[in-house]
Amino acid sequence: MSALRWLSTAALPIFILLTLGYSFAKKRDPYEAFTQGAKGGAGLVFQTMPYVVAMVFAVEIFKASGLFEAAGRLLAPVLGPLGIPPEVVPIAILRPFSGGGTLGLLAGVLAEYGVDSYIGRVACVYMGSAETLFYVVSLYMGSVGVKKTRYVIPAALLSDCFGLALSCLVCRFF
Amino acid sequence: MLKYIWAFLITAGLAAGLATGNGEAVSAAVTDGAKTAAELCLSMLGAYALYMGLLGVLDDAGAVKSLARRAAAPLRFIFPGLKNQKAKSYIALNMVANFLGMGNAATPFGLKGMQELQKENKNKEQASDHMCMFAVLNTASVQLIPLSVIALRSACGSADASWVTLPTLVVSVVTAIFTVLLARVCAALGRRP
Repeated sequence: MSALRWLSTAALPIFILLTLGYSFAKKRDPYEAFTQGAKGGAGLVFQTMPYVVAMVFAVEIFKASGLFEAAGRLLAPVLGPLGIPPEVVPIAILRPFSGGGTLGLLAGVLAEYGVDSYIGRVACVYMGSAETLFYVVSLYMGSVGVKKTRYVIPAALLSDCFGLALSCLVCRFF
Repeated sequence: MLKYIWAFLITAGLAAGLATGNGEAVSAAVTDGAKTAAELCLSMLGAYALYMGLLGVLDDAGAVKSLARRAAAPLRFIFPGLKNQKAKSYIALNMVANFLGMGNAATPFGLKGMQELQKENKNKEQASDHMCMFAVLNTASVQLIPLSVIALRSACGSADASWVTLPTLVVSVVTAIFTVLLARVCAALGRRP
């Protein structure tokens, strides 16, 4: 496990060293190439900013209105019979919209029900295996100016539910 | 689809806020939300420039092309019929960066991949099957080490904070496989007359 943790902190330094080494091995000029590439990075941020503002602003309004909690109360009786603990439902609803917000909810659940309880473990595993899908889709599709996203959101939401159910199942075995 | 969800979040949020007497909190969220988003973008500016710079070094030295050749076999199943070599290497870089938990690096790689896929796309207004697959794949995060969750668990006094690593990996890999199959099914259904 400590080897895994070492790898996660060392990944970036190793990546940079390999990149520089590769460039010199091929007798190229990494400094010139870096500055040329970095120019594109600044453009990319400004190109994607409108989509980030649009999504974050809408999610902040929805979060402040208290509707996430209401949706959680509404869905809990439906998901309970599927083996999904109702305590995890608010996390599952917020997860596709906001990563930071979900981490806050998760901290609350862990403090209330215990980190190593079944509820706590399910919440942790689901948190780590899901993504902020609305943000990702609006960023990726928006950055190239695509308006019709077709089946992307339904498919991503279905996968998200699949991941939640699987988290519950896996936590019974581990 | 996105426009309806976006409009729903705003309208429902504002209406519910006003109806339940949360009007003040909701109007504060309007301006705070825009500010948070702009700050997020500014904080990404450095990271984007850094990773695009490193990507430029790799591309200049020919590593992007050789990575694409190596990733060809697995990508052929996920993106059948994709010929664009550059798109393949950006997609491979995006997946590797995601796997290593380098989220800041994964996004610029992913956006470059998206641009390449858009070049192949016939109808620029509508996402191609490859673009849909790539976007959906990025919503299923396969990550070697879920660092933020482990950090939170150890802060909450867990007896074994890094316990989550293996179950998270199992769940995310199986979910990613499910996602790829699901996107292929959706693409096939879309092609039917």
